[in-house]
Amino acid sequence: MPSADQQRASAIIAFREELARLEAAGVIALDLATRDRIRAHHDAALARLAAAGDVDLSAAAARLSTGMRVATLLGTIALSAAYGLFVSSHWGALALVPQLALVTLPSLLLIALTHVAAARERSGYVASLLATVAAIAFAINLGTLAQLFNLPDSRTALLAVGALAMLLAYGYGLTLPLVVGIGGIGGWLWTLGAIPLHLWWRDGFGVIEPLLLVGLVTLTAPAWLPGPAKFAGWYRGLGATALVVGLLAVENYGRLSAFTTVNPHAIEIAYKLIGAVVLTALVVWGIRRDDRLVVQIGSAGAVLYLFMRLVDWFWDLVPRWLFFLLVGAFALAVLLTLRRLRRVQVEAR
Amino acid sequence: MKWAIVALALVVVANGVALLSVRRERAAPATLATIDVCAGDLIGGSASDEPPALRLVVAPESLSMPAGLDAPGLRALGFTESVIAAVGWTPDSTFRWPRPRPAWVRLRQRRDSLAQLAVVEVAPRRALLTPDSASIVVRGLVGMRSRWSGPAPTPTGDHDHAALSRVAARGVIDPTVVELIPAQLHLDRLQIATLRAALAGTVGCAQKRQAVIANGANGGIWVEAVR
Repeated sequence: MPSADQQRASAIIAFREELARLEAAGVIALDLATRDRIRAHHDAALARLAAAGDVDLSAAAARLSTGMRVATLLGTIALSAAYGLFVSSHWGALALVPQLALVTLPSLLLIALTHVAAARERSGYVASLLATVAAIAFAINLGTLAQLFNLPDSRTALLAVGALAMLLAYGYGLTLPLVVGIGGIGGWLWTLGAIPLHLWWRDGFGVIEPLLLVGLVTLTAPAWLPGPAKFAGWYRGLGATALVVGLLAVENYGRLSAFTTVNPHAIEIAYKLIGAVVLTALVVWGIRRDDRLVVQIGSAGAVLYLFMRLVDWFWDLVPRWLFFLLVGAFALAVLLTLRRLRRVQVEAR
Repeated sequence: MKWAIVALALVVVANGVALLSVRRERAAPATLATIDVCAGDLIGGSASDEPPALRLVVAPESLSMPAGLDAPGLRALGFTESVIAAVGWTPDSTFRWPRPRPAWVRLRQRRDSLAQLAVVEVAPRRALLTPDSASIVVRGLVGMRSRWSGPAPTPTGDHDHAALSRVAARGVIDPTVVELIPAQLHLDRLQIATLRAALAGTVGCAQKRQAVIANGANGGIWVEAVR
């Protein structure tokens, strides 16, 4: 998801390319003074954006940035795995104090290193990696403390890890820790559904309604939660994903509902109706807000939803070849409808 | 800088709270129970990647129903009336298996050769289980399972095979402890070394050592000593 700075830089670069095409085609001919003024203004803006953060000023730089993001993710996974495996392989040979130091100090050290990296390296990739590993090290810290002292597993660990990730994400404007933070706090909120049902907190993950609420809250978070503009897309994307996954799960497996005492078949029918409304609303909401990611997630959910309904209605009724012919025809119908919608939008613009 | 300080404080406070509560709990154990330990109960230690621990091995079938898993006990744990009424019966197509419920579980070691733990009592709150020095108390999850039910053994312990052919065995709904929390107790490096050395080369429960399990006043449990 491009940041506001990246969008501005991309718009300037696109303007320059289009202006060059217009001039080459003889559509316009700006006088030298005007062109220099625009160029100087844009140069200053690009320099300011480049100094403020990680902005790609060419297609090649954008490709390199993608590589850096992938490397950040891989590095985070590898470093976290290395630390977790190091702890488990040396755990048994240590006395209590070194055991505590082994699990407590790394997260403290990684937080300090995140601060240093954020100050020294403006792109934020290294800080993002360090902050995420710090949050994961904290999770390992709490997990091993529980193991060491035979403490029962607890949802509070999710809240603590999520809070740490959020602190680092908001403190330094980092998106990867934000994802961990949303996951941690969202997971904690999800498990709260276990309390009124008298379930162990882990079994709360088997109840979908709290996930739907968490999805809704996350989807709307950018509207009421202040923060960097680049975070909004992540909130909306993760919120939409939670909604779509939750709805698709519960409409097929009614026993995942909190209302298990009701007939699961009735629950599934109710959620099929709710799903049709919510998925349509999600796509419409995304189109109105011009939020491409929400539209894509909502559309993917709607297509899956419709495919499942086709299976429900026709799989046992018609021969297999006819079923897939129907699916193909349905896909074609969706394609034509979307094409017509796109044409209407283009004409409206 | 303030974000880093708050993040550091969060880590320190979370660890501090955990360590202080454990320290307070361990300063005065409420009960001490001695159990036999077999080689098969030990996990990890020495060159293993697994942390050293003592498994709490619960006997797969209890010959008698633990106290607290009767109708009032199941009601207290939050099971619905329809589930309670179905206990002991074969589930029909309308029966909906309930999710497990958290509970406190009293375990007592059997005096047979396997030295497994048997669930003797279940309660929704720990305070309902009076402490004693012959048992240990841990958290657990109580759920329903389908138990194979055939003719009862004869008084001599043999099955009446004629009865087996007369009455088809069937699965009946049965409340049981499906999980202990924690399922194993941590052993420090000296404890695991002592037990490994003493039980080296033994299989199953051919040889036994003893572990003193402490229960804290607030639900904590740990291995106080091994011998």
